[in-house]
Amino acid sequence: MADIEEVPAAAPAAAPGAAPAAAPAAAPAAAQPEPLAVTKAGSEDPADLDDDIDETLAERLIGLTEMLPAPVRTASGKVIQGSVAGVKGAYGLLCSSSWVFFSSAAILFAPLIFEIERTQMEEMHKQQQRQILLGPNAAVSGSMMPPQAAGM
Amino acid sequence: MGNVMASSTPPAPAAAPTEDKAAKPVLENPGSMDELHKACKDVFPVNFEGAKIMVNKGLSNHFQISHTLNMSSVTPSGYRFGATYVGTKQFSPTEAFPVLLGDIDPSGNLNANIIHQFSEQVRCKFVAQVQNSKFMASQFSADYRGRDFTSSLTMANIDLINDTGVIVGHYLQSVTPRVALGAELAYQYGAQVPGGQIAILSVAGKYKAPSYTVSGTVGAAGAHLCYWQKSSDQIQFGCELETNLRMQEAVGSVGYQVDLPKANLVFRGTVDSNWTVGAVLEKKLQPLPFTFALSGMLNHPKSQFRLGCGLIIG
Repeated sequence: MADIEEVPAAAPAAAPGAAPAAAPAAAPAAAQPEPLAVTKAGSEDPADLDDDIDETLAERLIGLTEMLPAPVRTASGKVIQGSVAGVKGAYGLLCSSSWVFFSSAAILFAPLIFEIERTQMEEMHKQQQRQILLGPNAAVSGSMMPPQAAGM
Repeated sequence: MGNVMASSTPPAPAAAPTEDKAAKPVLENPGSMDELHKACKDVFPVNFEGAKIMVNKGLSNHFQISHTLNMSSVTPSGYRFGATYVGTKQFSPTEAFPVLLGDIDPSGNLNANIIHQFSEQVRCKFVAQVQNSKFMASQFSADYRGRDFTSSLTMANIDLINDTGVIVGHYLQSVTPRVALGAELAYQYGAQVPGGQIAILSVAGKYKAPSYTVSGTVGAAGAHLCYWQKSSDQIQFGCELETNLRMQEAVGSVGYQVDLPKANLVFRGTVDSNWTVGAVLEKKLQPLPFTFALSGMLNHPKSQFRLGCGLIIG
């Protein structure tokens, strides 16, 4: 394509109108020797721009997949879809199983554990009070003893 | 009952008392058929919904009344007045007869129980339920407790005008000190019953070990198996399987009960095979004679939660 541009430019005598007429005619002829020619940046040729716009980026990427054989394509498609579905399913399962676990624990075990902790704390508190009031011997024995001369 | 037994067995010959004991183990009364699954069922919580306030007042040693306020959106809210009268005939320190229990609400719906023990062996019970000025249900049952067996006869909803009714007979016999076997025959007659009458027979058994009890009832209607275990002073487990052949469904549930006298707490919880979780917490709020009850039940498949709280004063 670059050569085609240079040819009309090299012959300034050739009218610019002849260039678009010559370009489509020359393009198929020039396409064979230069099949991988890339559009020069800033080219003003509208016909060439049309060829580029016809293929969007997505189409070009999809076109790239044609380089892989069909079984590989379908297999990898299935694997990817399967893993997406699997991740979604696993997430859903994780959500519902943790809901079931935590709500059931809140109903079955939480009040009991809170009450046991509270009783233990009250017990400790009472022991501490007794210890402060009657000296360390009373707290260890855990019963009310008359204050002993040695303890006091 | 144990004391009565000891006084009634004839004294064994002095020559070989131990050999006699080995040959003839002393069989105790196995309790009635209604109480077969009682130990296991007591472990399971009774879930309720809404708020419940109950005021119990004892007017004398024999008479007690209660006022109950039920506020809920699932069951109709209302006020109920209940009265309990306990008579003067005492058979043991804890049991006195006759016992009259009644429950009535402002529109006249009444539940009444009368329990009386005529002698050591014979006990009768009458239950009536009146709703919308009609006898919805009535049931009369008589138990005979022998030395090592119990038999009872129950007549329910006997309607002489329409000739319908249900008659149930139970017999439970102690076979060894640990095993009791029995049978139940239920007979229903009436115009609505296909064929005019129908009878269903089921067998029951109970094995009682020191720390656990296994009991079961198997019949044409289905099977009901229970296992109860007392793991320690504080915790008891119960496991129950109920099958209904007519509806082709079975439900298994596991329950536990935790008693913490130090915390004045009784906690019961259950898990079901229908993915239902329920628990009831009862706490005595010392020093005032208040009991606070909190009940929660979550049905996972239907995503339904029922919360209930109750306060019992007195």
